[in-house]
Amino acid sequence: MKTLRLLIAILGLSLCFPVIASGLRAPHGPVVLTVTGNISQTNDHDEAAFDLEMLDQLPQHSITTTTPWFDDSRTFTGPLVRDVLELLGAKGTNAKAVALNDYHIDIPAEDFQEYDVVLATRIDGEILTIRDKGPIFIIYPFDQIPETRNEVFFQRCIWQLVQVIVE
Amino acid sequence: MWVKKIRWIAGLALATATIILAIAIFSTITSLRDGALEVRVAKDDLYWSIHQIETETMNLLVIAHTLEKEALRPGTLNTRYAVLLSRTDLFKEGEFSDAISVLPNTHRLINSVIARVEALGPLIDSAIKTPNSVPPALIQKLEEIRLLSRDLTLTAHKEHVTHRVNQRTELTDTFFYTEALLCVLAGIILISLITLYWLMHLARKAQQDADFQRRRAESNSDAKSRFLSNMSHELRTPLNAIMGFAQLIQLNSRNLTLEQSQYINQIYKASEHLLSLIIDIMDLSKIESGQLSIEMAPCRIHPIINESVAMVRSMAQAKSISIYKPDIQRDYVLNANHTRTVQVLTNFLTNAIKYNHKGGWVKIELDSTTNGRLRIGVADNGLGISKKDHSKVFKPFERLAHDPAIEGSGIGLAMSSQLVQLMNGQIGFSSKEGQGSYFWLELEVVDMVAPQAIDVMGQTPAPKYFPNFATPEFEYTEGLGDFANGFKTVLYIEDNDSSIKVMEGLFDSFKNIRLISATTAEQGIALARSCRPQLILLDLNLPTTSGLEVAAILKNDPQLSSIPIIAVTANVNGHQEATALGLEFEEFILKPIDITSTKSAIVKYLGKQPSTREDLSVHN
Repeated sequence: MKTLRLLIAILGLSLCFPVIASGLRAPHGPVVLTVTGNISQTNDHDEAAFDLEMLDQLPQHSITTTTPWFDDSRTFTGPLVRDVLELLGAKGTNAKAVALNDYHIDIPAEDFQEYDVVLATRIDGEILTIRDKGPIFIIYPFDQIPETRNEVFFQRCIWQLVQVIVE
Repeated sequence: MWVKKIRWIAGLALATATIILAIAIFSTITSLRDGALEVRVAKDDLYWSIHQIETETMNLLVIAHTLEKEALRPGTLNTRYAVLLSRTDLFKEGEFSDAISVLPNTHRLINSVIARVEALGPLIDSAIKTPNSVPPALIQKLEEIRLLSRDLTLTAHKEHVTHRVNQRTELTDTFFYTEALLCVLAGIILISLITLYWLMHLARKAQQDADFQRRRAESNSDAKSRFLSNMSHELRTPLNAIMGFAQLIQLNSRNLTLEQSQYINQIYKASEHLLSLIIDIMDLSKIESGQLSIEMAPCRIHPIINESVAMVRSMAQAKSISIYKPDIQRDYVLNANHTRTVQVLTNFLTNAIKYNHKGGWVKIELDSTTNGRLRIGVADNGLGISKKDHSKVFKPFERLAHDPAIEGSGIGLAMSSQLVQLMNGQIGFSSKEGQGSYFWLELEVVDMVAPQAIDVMGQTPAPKYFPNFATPEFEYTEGLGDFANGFKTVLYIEDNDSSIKVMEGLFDSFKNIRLISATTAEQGIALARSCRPQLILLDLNLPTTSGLEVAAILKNDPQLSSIPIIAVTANVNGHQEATALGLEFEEFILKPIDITSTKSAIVKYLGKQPSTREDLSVHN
């Protein structure tokens, strides 16, 4: 049901904003994220490649929360996964997230509708480096939504994210 | 007392132990729950994350080795180094740092690995600058790090397992202690329940015992009351014959010798004493069972004193004892019962006379107290009471050590004490052996008035004692002049032969009154219907049909209802029983009958009634 709603929403948005839908430009800087799979908007063959600038141009969202990986509460900033997938006209129930070291995890698509899941490019305003678990760190609002504060959601918070395959 | 104290302490200790145990169990379970529910990523991911250091070192080593031979982008080396650094950084803060801190060897090793990895920076930079000649030191260092990482993985594995086993042991101990605590708690609760049940059982048993005792006491008390009531009746019936005949002989036999007359008088006196004993015992029994109610009304002290003195006058005269009455200027009105106050005062006076020397004196003194009471005291110069007997004075059946020739039952003062208490008064005495006694009672004063003229004149009521020898005081044959015109018929319904005989003797002095008697209720009713008497004398304790039932039948018969009925009974409760049934008798005469007053009553009711039909016809 949720999936259906997601698809209708994505389709609707795609029809309403044909300019955005057709205007995915090619990346100028180093590619930080590649989205493949069941997407309608691409800029490099069947892939959608993003540089940091392209991600920064999307509406930015900040989550300040404690996590298992840091001592204190940190602020993570970046576009919502939801917005990126909408932009690309993604259709699917699952997002396979792949990290630099080839670690990958499946994230159900409804997570992105239900929670404000962020593709964090910045931590406390600083750009995330590879050493800082960058370039992209998926973050859930743990402190804001306590039901996400468990191992299942911690596991979905992949870091050093480089690729998303929409299935 | 001690048992109660120990029971309290044990109960308190048990309750405290229960509370402490409950708190201990609760907090243990809470901590176990917190431990079990704690969200710890590092707990599961620790091993994986340590292994990743080794993997990334391996990746870096491969790249470093192949950098010279293959045309790899130098940036790749940098990226992999950053990945390795991100892996080692993971253990510098957050949950992973906490998790590793409890594994000492792993902690030491990881610090060593972190330091070595971070020290690689210049060598990596150098390799990137000159990709064709990778510094051999880099390869060597990476190899060292790889081996150290392997060591770290194995150590972490070993320590992690040991740590988990230790934790499990601790957990097992905790569970064991918790279970033990639960067992103790269950034991305490069980003991408490058993104790509670036992106490309830004891309480129930005590209640049952108390109920049984109460029921038995009630039934004993009822049985005693019934017995005494029956005894009173059974004793009064023969006394009626003894006293009745004694009176009849004295009244009717003019040719008795002086000696015979004295004997008869003695018989009468002894019988009267016996009767007073019966009355006293009945009263005392009623007081003890709470059945005696006393009606309180304003009554004057002067008539009380006069009546009491009159009662004992002949007794005092016989012992040549002087009685001094108080000089009454004003009469006190007491809140008391006249008859009972007379009874108490008479008892005091009787004792003062009985336990006195010939020619002694008895003084009645009045003294108003500060708390609105009047003290009526009786002082004498008689034998007195020894100190050791003082505590027995108001106890029933305790006759003090005196001359056994002095007659008495030992219940007079006990009765007096009870009666005074029932009248909300006080009673007391002081006495010295050989010097005399002073008995007093105090009653509430409600008013003070001028003494009544009749009292001032010193007129005393008719003496209760048997009239002087030989000469009857009244001649009723003369008194019947009013209705001498015809025969009167009186019906006596009585089953006791001697009682009939006494009544027949009494009627002998009436020249023109016919006494017919019936021994059963049925016969009595039949005679009443056939003879139409002017007066019916009715015994209440008849066989088969009771006197009260007979009275009801007579009163309900329209032809007989106008005939006056005088109850002649040995049942002291007859009046109450009749009232309870709504029956009204013209007069109640209690056996043993007093000849003179019975005669007066008969004359009184015969005088009111017209003659029987036959007489009327004759008269007409």
